[in-house]
Order: sequence, then structure tokens, then C-alpha cells
Amino acid sequence: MKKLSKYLHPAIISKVGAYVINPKSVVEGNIAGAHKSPFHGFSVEFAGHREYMPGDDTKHIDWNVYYKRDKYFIKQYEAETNLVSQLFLDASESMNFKSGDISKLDYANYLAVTLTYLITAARDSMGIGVFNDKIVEYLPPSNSRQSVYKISKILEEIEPVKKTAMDNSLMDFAERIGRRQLVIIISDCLLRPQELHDGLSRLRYDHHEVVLFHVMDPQEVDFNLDGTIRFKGMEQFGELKLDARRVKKAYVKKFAEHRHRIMEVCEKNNTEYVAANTGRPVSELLMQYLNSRLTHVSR
Amino acid sequence: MTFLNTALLWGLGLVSIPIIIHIIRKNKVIELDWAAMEFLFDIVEEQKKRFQLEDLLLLLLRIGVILFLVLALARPVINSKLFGLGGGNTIVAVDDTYSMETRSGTKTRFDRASEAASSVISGMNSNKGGALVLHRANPEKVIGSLSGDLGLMTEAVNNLKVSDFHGNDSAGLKTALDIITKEKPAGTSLFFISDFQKSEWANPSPELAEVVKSLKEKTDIIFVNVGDTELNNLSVKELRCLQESVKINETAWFTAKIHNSGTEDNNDVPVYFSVDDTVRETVSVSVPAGQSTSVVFKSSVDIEGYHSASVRIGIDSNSKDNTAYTHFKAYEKLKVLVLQNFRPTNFDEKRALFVDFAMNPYQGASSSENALYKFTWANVQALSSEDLNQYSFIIMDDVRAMTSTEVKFLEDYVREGGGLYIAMGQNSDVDNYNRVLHKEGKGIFAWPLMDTAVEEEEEGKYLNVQIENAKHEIWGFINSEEGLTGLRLKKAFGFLTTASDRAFSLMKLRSEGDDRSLMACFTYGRGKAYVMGTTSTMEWNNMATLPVFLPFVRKVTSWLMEERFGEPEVYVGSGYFEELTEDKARAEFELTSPSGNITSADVTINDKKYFLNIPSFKEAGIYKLQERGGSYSRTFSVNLDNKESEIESLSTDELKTKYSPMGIKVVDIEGISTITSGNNTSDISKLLLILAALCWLGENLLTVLIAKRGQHG
Repeated sequence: MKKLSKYLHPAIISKVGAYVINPKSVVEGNIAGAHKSPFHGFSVEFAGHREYMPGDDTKHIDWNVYYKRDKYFIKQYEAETNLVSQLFLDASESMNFKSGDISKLDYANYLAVTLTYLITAARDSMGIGVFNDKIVEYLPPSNSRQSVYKISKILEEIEPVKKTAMDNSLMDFAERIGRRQLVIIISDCLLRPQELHDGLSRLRYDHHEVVLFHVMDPQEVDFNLDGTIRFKGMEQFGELKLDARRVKKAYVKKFAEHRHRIMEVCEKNNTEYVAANTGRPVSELLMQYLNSRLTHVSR
Repeated sequence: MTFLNTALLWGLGLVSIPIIIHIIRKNKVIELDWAAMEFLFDIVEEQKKRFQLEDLLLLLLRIGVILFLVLALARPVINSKLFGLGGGNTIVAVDDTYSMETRSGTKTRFDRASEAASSVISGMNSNKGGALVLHRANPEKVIGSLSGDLGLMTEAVNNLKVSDFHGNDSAGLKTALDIITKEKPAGTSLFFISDFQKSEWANPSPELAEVVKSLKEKTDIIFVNVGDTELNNLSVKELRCLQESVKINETAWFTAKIHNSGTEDNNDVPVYFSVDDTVRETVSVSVPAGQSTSVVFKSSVDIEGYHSASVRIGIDSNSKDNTAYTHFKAYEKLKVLVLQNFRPTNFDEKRALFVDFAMNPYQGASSSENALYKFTWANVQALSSEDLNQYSFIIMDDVRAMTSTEVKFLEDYVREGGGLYIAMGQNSDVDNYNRVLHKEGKGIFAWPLMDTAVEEEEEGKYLNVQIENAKHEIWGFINSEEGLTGLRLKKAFGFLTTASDRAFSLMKLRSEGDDRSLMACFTYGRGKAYVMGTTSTMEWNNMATLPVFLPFVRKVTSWLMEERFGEPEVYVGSGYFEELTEDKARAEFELTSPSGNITSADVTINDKKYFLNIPSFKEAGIYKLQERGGSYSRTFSVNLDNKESEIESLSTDELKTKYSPMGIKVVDIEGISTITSGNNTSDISKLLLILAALCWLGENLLTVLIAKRGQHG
């Protein structure tokens, strides 16, 4: 039987399938849904009155107020809309790195597809933008279950090349999407923190809820290497021959500093930072992350 | 800087190993695609200089480990003279015995010894002292106290020549020990340069071991072997005149012994016999390996007085021992006085005629023209009436008795070197003899005559006798005492033997419990007396019929005349000592050596007695001792000690086997430079080993440090 999606893994779904992703703030959906919208709509929850304007549906006139004030007032209710989420996935060459069985890109893909599954399962919409130095693929949000397969297909076909240029890509991405959406960025963040800051600032401007999955390979973090190694740089970096033992400490320190700066950038831009170590099972990471969302969710 | 083990310097190539490993390790890399390159570039940029420095340091330390290790094994030495350090005092002992004249190729052993000594001296530190000693039986201190004058030492070595002395294994070392004991220098090396003859050095004597032990406590001993593989050497071992005295214009006989101390036979060796430096006879002889051949020469002289004779062989590996010397005195006549109780008037009454025949084996005996010895018969009163000194020796034949006055003249004669031959007979008065000749041990007889005689047990059964002191020169003509078979003694008093240093017995009774001496020899002053202590009924003709009579008489008379007419055997290294009469006490004597050097001979006084003292003869050849303005003269034939003719040397390896366990360093002529340089240089191998260890330690520490800093710190 043909496998429908490479990255939709039953073992992961079986563990996290029951979770629902709710936005931590109001979102602007395109259809009525289960999530609080910044707009007044016509749901059951009363929000207030306003004067009748020509063109308003007369059925919403509050006659009790008319009797008291002798003016036409329209009854307003809080709008409830669906969650529109956007995946913004880094497909630069560096994402192809792996020290174990799974590359950072594969790990990111598992994350993306599983999240898509969870979003669309709640009838919310999920779109995706794949970028390296620019957006190379974009799929508008859809609440169709087909989205899972469409996104998965895009990810399966993606060829990680070129360098990461997150600032420009995020600018472009922000132009394409609306406002107040859930933006999930999945990247190894091998970029200048300023780039990330610029990009995230743009998203913050549009009141998006942003989550950054920082994908890291365990070897990148711990640098458990020995002997003389010729490091062949991805993303068009050159080559470097080094005694691994001699640079380990400096490297680990530098990487930790970089990660710390990424986290600072995230904090400044109200972005939730999630460390995604490829040495850790995707299901475990997601369970932990989704649990934390449940406990910290606020409206 | 020089190296004691230069062969190990090839190991310096190993220095390339760490370089190769360094390069290989640099090239043996794992390739890895890496995403976070920027961080690595940053690190390299930041720490590039440190990495390079560490790499360089590691490489240098690894090179250092091997470099210093190899250099240490090669034992480099630096000339500490340049730094004014090291180089202790040096004593050079050079063997100048005549075996060193052995030639192998173009150089003699002594040539090599001189080069070795010069090499040692050139390596000496002038801040320290040096001494030069000649090793031989009579060692000599050429420079006897430690001197920093290297020029003086070099000049002394250049002036050295091979001597005629023979060797003594411990003599040179003892002399060096004397210098060290006297001067007590710190840090001394003794270079002993010799050919190390097998005959002398194959078995270290206890005396040598003792000297080495004493020396080792104070100095380093280095044996420098300049010997070679030469084995074959011919030498003239002996030359002597067969007669005790030579008559002018009569043939004199000489015998020489040619010895082959090598391993190859020598055939047709020319031997030249000379008298008074004129070659009289040349013969060709063959000498088998390891054996001697005797050659007999004859010659005559027509002038009375001393004559020299020599035997020389052709040139061989060692020319020093190719000549032997002797000398003899030629006379027209020598007088012999025969005393009897009465002056014989006819032939039959000359009881000692057989002695005359034995001494003058010609028809008519002493009356012959050819006879050397002229016998004069007289009665005992002649002792006081005649000038006894004109006689070569005196025979007393069955003299009954003597007066004290007569004996006094006799004593004077003997004391001054005269010879006395006493044949006692049936008329001899034992009591008188004991009274005037024994005089309680103060007379010519050291022993008293026994007053009771032993007699034959029955008619025709003679006394059973046996000889004593069979090795004495008088018995040199017989192979065993059986040679005296037929000596028939019927009755004898003999001498009561007591402890005396001037008496020995030649014959005694072959019966237990009776030690009386039947033939006794006494020394008295410089003279000698032979006494046949019997009062036997033996007739002269009875003994004269024995075949041994003639040689016996000649041996006895030769022994008696030895002081006056014989010349002592003198060897190079031996001395001469003679008590002088008082009238010679103020005389001056000069000694002329074979090479013509004239030196004064000392007269020394000891216990109110005057002695002519020649400490040692230094050359082989004929020496002449002459009183200045006086009549006294003597001639000495000085010959080499033949032991030194065994020229075979021990190899350096053999020397090492024997002497290294005694703590002596042994080197050959080629190895001396390393020792001399070692003596004046400092061996820095230990320092290099320490450096190698430090490099190794440093390399490990740096590696650990780098790894630790890279991973944790």
C-alpha cells in the first residue's frame, strides 16, 4: 500500500494525536471557529451595543434599548473564528546535517507534518512557507485534511540548498499572510541573531503568535568529535582541518552563546523558543511542548 | 664536540620520525560535512596563533626527545678545556723496555707508544699537572712531579728512546703510585703505554694486583696497548768463554746460545763472532721454533789483559737482543802453589801432580809451553816466605800442621780473594787444623773437623757417600750423583756441620744419623776454600783415575779463582757492589759505558767500610771501570735479560678480559684519542638524557594540557 505521507508517523500521531493547539491570544481566522477572534461576530457571547448604521441587519436591533433610548442600537456578540497557522520551515543546506539517523531537515519535517495534522484535526487551517535565502515554496492555509498530505508532499520534495536568509524571507512571508495568526518557525537558526530579530519583529508587528523550533543536532551541541577532522562547510562555507579535541571547548561555548542570543531575540520578540534536539524523539518533544501550551495558554 | 659512539649517530635519522608522524597525522583526517562552520572559523581566527605555536612546540618537543636520546647514546663529549673545566692530572707511563723495539711495518712499538704519549699530552689541560714515567725493571721518573708545562712533557717524550732494560709488570705502576702518594693530586688519570708482552702480563702477579688496588683508590688506570701481532724473534741468549782463564796465543773456546722465541723455524741464520770488535768467525745456524741452538767458536789473542767478545745475529723483528757480550782475560802464565809437608825432590813425591795434569792437559803438564798454569811445589814454610798474591790458587796436599803465623799469611791471602784447595790425608793433624784454621769459627774453616774418623767396615768395602748441594755449579758436570761411582774412601773425619752462612757441604756419608761433611766449601772474606775433609788412605791416583776427576778439579779450581779471575755476570738493570780496601777509599773511579759515556762511580762509606757502588748498568755491552790515576780496573760484560725477548703481545681483547675486571680501562692505539678526549672533556650524555626525558615529559604534558583545555578547561 502506498504510504500517504513520509513524515506522518503513526507512532508520533498515536502519542500526540489527542492534543489540541489553541492560540495563546486572539486570532483572526477566515471562518467561524472555536477560537476567540478580535472581531465582533454573531456568536453566543454578548460583547456590547452600537448605534444602528444603514445596512445593518435589522434582526440584530435590540428593541429593548430602542424603547429606553428611542434610538436603534445593534446588539453585538464576540466573534469566534478558526485558528490560522503558518509553518515557516528552513530548508537551507545546513538543515541537511545529521550525526545520527535523522537529519535536522527530516526532524523539522516530522515536526511540521505532525503539527499540521494536529491543527487540521481541529478544523483549523495550516499553511506553509519553505525558505532558504528566500521563500521557495508557499502553500496558503487550509483546514482541509488534505493539507497534511499537501504539506508533506512539499516537504518530501524539498531539496535543501543555499544559505539561510531569514530576515528577507520572513518579511516576504509576513507580507503573504494576514494578521494574528500562529506562526511556527522551524529552523536550525544558523544565522546572525540580528537576522532573526528583524524577521521576528516584522511578525510581532502583525500580532502573530510566533513559536520558534530551534532544531539542533546533538553533535552540533556537544561536539563529541575526536582526531583531526576536515570540516566541509555546508551553505557554501569553505573547508577547515582541525584537531577536534582542541576546539571542542571553544566551540561548545560559542554554540551555547549563539543559542543564548537566539533565545534573547525570541524573548524580545515575544516568541516562544523551543529547543528541538534531533537526538530526542519528535513525539517526546511535541508532548512536552503541547503540555506546556496547555498549562500556559491564556486568552 | 666529539662522540664516543659515532656509529649511533646514524640514529639521528630517527629525528625524522616525529616530523613524518606530524605530517601524517596532519594528513590523516576524517572528512565531515559540518553545518555550524561559522563558529569553527571564528575559533580558528581567534586561536590560530596559539594553535600554530602549540603545534610547533609539540613538533619541537617530539624531535627533541629523539634528538637528545640519539645524541646521548652516541655519548658526545665537549672539550671542557675551552671552559677551563675538567681534565684532571695525568701521569704517563711509557714502557721503554727493549721489546718495544719490535718493528711491525714501518713503525716500532715504541714509535706508536711515543705517538700515544704525545696524544695524551696534547689532550691535557695545562691548568693541571702531568708526570712522565718510564716503565721497566728499573723505572725512572722523567718528570717526577706534576707539571703543567706541556711543552716540557712533549719534549721529554720526543727525546725518549728504547732502553736495554727488561720489564716488570708492577714497576711502572709503583712509580706512578709514588708520585700520587707524594703529591696527592685530585682527579688523576694514569696512562700506561706498553706492548703488554704475554710472558709478563698474561697472568697478573699478586704484586701487580696489589699496586692496581692501591692506584684505583686514587686514580683511573688506562692501559694503552701498542703491541702488535709479531711473534718471531731471534736472540743471542748467552755468550761465555769456556775457560776461566785464557792463555795468549792458545785457542780459547766460546759458546753462544741462539734462541728462537717465535713459532717459525729459522734456517741459515748468520751468526758473527767478534773479539775486540773484529769479526773472527761467521757461521750459519738453524734454530727451530721455541728452541735454542748452541754455537761454539774458537779464537786466540796475542796480548795479555782484558779482551771483549761478542756474538751477533742478523737483523730480525727486534734488533735489540741480537747481540751478547762477554770478556775474558788472557795470560801468559798463572801460578799455582802446591804445599806439602816437604818440598818434593822427585816426580813421585809430587802428590798433586794429577791436579797439574787436570789443569794443564798437555804432555809434561805445567812444564809444557802450552800450559797456562805453572805449578810450584814447596813446603808449608813457603806461606810465610813467598808472596802469596802471585798465585792464582794454593793447594795444600796432606799438610800435617801449620803455625799460626803461617796461617795468618794464608788467611790474608784468602781474605783478599785467593783460593785454597785443601786435600787432607793420613798425615793431617785434625787438632792442629781445628786450632789454626777453624779457630772457633773465626778461621777459614767455618765448621770444625770431627776428631773421630769413620772407616771402612772391612777391607775393600769403602765408605758409602752421596753428594750434597747437587745444584751447585761445582757439580755442574754430572747428571746425577751416580757420576761419582768409584770414589773410594776408606777413612774420613769430615766436618761437623753447623748453621753457617759461609759454609756448604758437597758430600756426606750415606748413613743415617751421621751428617758429617766429607767435602766442604767455605768462604772467607772475598776468597774461598775447598776442603776434602778426609784423612783417608785414598791415594791421589785413586781418585784421579775416575772419569769425573778432570771436570771436578776444573770446576773446583774455577770456583776458587772466581773472585780473582772470574767476572760476575751482569745484566742491564743490575748493579755492582764491591768493598774497597782502605787505600782505595779516596780513589776516584770512572765508568765508561759501551756508548762511550764516562760517569763517576761512587765510593760510599757504610759502617766504616768503603764500597764501590754502581747502582745499575743501563746499556748492554762492555763497561770499563778504571781508577783515575791508579791501577785498579775492571771490565763488565753487560747483557740483556732474555725474558724480554719473548715479544708476543697480548691482544687488546685479551687485556680487557684480564684487566677490565680489575677496573682498568684498556684501549689500543686507535682508541686512545677517545680516552684522551674523554679525560679532558666532559661527557654530556647524562645531560642529554635528562633533556630527552624533559622533552618527553613536556610533550606529554602539553598534549594533556591541549586536550584538557580543548575539552573542559
